[in-house]
Amino acid sequence: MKSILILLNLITIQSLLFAQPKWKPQNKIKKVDLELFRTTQTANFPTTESLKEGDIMYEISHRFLPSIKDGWDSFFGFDGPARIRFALGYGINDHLMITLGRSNNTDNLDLQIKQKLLQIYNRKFPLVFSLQGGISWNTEVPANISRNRIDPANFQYYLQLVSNTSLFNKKLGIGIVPSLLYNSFIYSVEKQYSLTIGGYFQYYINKMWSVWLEFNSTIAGYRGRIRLDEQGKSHNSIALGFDIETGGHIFHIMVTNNARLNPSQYLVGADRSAADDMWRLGFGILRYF
Amino acid sequence: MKYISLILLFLLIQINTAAEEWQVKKDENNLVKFISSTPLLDFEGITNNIDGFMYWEGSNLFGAKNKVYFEVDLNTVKTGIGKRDRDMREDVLETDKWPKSYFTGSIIEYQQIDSTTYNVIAQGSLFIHGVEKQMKIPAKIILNDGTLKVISKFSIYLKDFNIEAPSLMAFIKVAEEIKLELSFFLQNIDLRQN
Repeated sequence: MKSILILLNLITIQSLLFAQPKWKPQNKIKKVDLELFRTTQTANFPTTESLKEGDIMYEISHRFLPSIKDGWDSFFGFDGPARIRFALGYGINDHLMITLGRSNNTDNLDLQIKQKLLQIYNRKFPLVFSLQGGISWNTEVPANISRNRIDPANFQYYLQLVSNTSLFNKKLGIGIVPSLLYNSFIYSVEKQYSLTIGGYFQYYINKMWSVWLEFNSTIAGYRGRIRLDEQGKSHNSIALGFDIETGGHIFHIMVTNNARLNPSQYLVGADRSAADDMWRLGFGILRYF
Repeated sequence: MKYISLILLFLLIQINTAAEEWQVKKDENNLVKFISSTPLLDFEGITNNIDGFMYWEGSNLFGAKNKVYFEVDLNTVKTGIGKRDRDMREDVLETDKWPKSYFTGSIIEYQQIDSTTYNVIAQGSLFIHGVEKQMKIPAKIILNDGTLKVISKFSIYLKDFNIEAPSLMAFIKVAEEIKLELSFFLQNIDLRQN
């Protein structure tokens, strides 16, 4: 009798145990990439953000050459002329993107590739590192230069290590970008290089508006002119502006002393000194598809 | 004889309390899709990352004490543009706070259409963006070759889940009504295994 009761109890317990779903979550939450800035680039520097695989980015940028201080007569610079850059980027995979751009400054064609290297997930102090390398081809040959368009001297090379972090719950983005440029002045007999350290701060006021400051300083190497029709040396770059993000477009609006756009030209330095009050207006538009 | 009757009675209870559980078959072609439709722009987001179960007691489909639970990892939803995915995660769904959406409830009505197809209505809570809303969700369930295929189409309204319709392009906002389409497969689980 006792053993039968035990058996019945076992059956009952078994039934009760069965009366519960056995499902348990099989999948953990997908870990998304650390995305500290809202764009793949600031006005002049790369961020660590990358296009997702198959995505396309289009950029158009202008830097007006007349100074703002020229006032109404040049419509504060909008009358031009202007340095113009067009660029098209493509996401090879989620961490690797390629961009082809062209500036009308020495008809500089620029091919760059950016790889996300490392992401450190830290709630208070997240860090992301990317490496960007590029090659620039200056396709314009001045009349007084005896050189083929595809002469190796017309090519420049650069490497940029991009480190980004964000503070205050992604309100403030900070970037540090040391850069090395080879063949800084394409008309120099001896090859020149420029080693620079750049950085940017971007404060996101809300989903639409942000303000930013960026700078680049040459710490070693060449900091002269980049065109034969320029005079004097190049200067540390500084730009101050704001971004408007609306419906997939990002607008950079800025004042800057550097009208050079493609990296191999921007990295040599600014074409005007900020101290001389040579601030110019500029803008950039990014669109992601 | 008395003991035998008792044993038979308990065995009967055992049979009556037998349960079935069907869990999402992860390696199948599951699909969760949302569709935003405005006069100027349509777009959709998809994921196959759905998980969960249907459970009931008894040997009949959707028997007593039935329970359904399905969840979707919102970080896996793709709209075709990475920037839009990110905006959706960060600005709309806030997946850092609420990474999953789930429905938990039970089947309150079912109607057999043919030998393998049932129309059902599930009632329960749909959780999105930190908000739970009571809903009745219709679905079609097809029994085929040892699997249950669940097909469901219904709509939700962003304001019900405390979501502000974001802008897609300047002056064009995501539709307030979002259509959801689900199609996924379940497999029967042997409840005697731990």
